[in-house]
Amino acid sequence: MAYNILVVDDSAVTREVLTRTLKLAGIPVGEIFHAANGEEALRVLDEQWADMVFTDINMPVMDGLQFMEELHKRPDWERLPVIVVSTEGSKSRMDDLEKMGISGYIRKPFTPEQIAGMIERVMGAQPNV
Amino acid sequence: MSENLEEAVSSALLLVMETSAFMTVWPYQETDGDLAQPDVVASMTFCGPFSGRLTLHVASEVLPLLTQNMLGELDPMDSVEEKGRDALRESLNMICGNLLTAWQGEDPIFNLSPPEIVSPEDARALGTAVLASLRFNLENTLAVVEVRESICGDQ
Repeated sequence: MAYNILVVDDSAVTREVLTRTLKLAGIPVGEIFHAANGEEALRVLDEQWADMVFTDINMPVMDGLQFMEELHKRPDWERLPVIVVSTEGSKSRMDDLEKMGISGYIRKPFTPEQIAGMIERVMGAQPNV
Repeated sequence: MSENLEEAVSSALLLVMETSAFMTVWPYQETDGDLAQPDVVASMTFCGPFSGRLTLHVASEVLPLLTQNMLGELDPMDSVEEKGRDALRESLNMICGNLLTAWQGEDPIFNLSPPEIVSPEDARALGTAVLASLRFNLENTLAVVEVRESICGDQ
């Protein structure tokens, strides 16, 4: 099974780095959708099926925390696995994110192994390599 | 707090440049000689128990390498200049998050502003007291990281 993945980050470079990392991680990847903030991400999810979301926190227009709050308001998205990819390292923030039901957290800068390991843990997927 | 500010700046810059951009960086020494001077500045604020502004000053000639190394390859249709600015903003974002944890520990929450590119003149006018200003040799160009005290919400 190939996973459709939504990548949400205001940096086009980071979206591309994450996309390349996902393709190199040996995980079966279907479509990868991009959004520059939470608002764009909600519009993508209205039109496309995603199996999981990688999202930054610190973004203009709608940040990652507001985006997750919006996801929780929608029963069809409530169980969508969300992995936060951020620079933040505060334990209090981690606790807040866990209470919000995130599936995982990866700190920037990340490695392909961290991404592959996270998908394996969240989705039970085995790398192809 | 696990590190003083200067140590936190150095460790965060080294981590980000070496891990995400595969670039060599070390504290500038006089023996490094004349290096290309910084002419591009990325800036962002952090707001929490301590509030301030972080700026990263680099020479524009290092941006193509930074971008190429972060992305692996550049799409011929891409604007190299815009991608370079984006790569610099994201590098600053990563440096900021990692230095705040190294400097202030894992307990406090900081709200970070989206990083932006500012002119060198504007960068000098931002914030108040300079808490740290460190120079580095980044791929044989001069890079400067500054931390300034600022009021929360002061963009």
